[in-house]
Amino acid sequence: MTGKECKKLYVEGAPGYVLNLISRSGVKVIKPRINEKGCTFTVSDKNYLKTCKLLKTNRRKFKLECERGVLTSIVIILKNFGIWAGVVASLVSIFIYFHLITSIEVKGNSIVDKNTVLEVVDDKIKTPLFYFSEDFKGLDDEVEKIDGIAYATTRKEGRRIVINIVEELPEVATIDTQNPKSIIAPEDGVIMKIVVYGGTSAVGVGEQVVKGQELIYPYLESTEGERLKSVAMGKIEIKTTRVEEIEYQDESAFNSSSAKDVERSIQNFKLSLKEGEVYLGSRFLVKNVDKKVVVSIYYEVITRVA
Amino acid sequence: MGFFIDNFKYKTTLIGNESILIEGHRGITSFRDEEVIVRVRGGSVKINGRKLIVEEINGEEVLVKGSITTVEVRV
Repeated sequence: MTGKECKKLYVEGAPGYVLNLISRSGVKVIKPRINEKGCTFTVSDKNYLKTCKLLKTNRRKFKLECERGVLTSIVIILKNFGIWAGVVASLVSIFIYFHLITSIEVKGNSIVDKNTVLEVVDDKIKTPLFYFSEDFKGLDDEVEKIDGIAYATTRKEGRRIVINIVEELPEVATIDTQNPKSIIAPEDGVIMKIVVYGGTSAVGVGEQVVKGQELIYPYLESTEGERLKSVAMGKIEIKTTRVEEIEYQDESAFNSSSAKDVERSIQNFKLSLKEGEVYLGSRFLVKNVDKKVVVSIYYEVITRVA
Repeated sequence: MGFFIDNFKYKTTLIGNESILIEGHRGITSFRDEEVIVRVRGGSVKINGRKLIVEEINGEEVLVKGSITTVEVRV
């Protein structure tokens, strides 16, 4: 009852008479207490007017002591100011936290960008929850998910968070110096650039090559025509053309969806490019075959061979 | 623990020795720290004890709390 709106009344005169008078009228009287000249009791807000009317009719002296109980007051205060109190408490805790953690330092990175690491950890670290839980293991797991990071350890040094990372080593191709091999063209194309670091160049710039053709020989030729074994090394750029065809049953199908299909195909093609491949551009050709319409998309790509 | 006297059309329920609920009362005759007298049809119920307080009262029920020592039914 104390949780609801209620009113506390003081009535002078015989307490028993007053209580019987009120209770018989159907009003619920809560916590009646006798004092020197009368009694106090509580009635619900709903019954307050009825009680007053009854007391007036019976010529009783009474007064309103209190609008509500202590508990009700607390509930009302919390209802009115609880949200604000919560907001203030959160702001204070965030403020305290931001002043507790002054900086985040990333150590041991040479390939992986520091900002990439900070982006991952920033949201996680700068929360009061982290301050209380100090879940460094979870943080390490998050950092280790970043491409190129093999291992991470996080620790707190005073007001600093230090993240030590160990990067994954780039894959090193093993070169057989005893039995060196030629550098081979991975697909048909035109040589755009060739720089030889080791071995002898087999092709020149502008030359058409086919898949499997030797580009750099694994030997050096002396002036006397003698061949010396050498590891074939160099950088070669081959311009290649790849073709994709989209077939439509008739012209109406072509008209309705070809524009979107071509655009989608180009996007997919760009995404499918491997490391060392650079997209130059594309062109397309439309052909009518019987009633069908065939769209051929020609993608131009630079393939780097090393 | 409780008992119901059908003839008198009221019901008294005693819970431990800490509270007593009287249903079908006809008003309070007196209430003090040591004694509360409640009128019922055909008589009265006198509750003796210490620190007795009337917790709630309405037209039908009266709930008395405190350290109850005896309950006397007067007919």
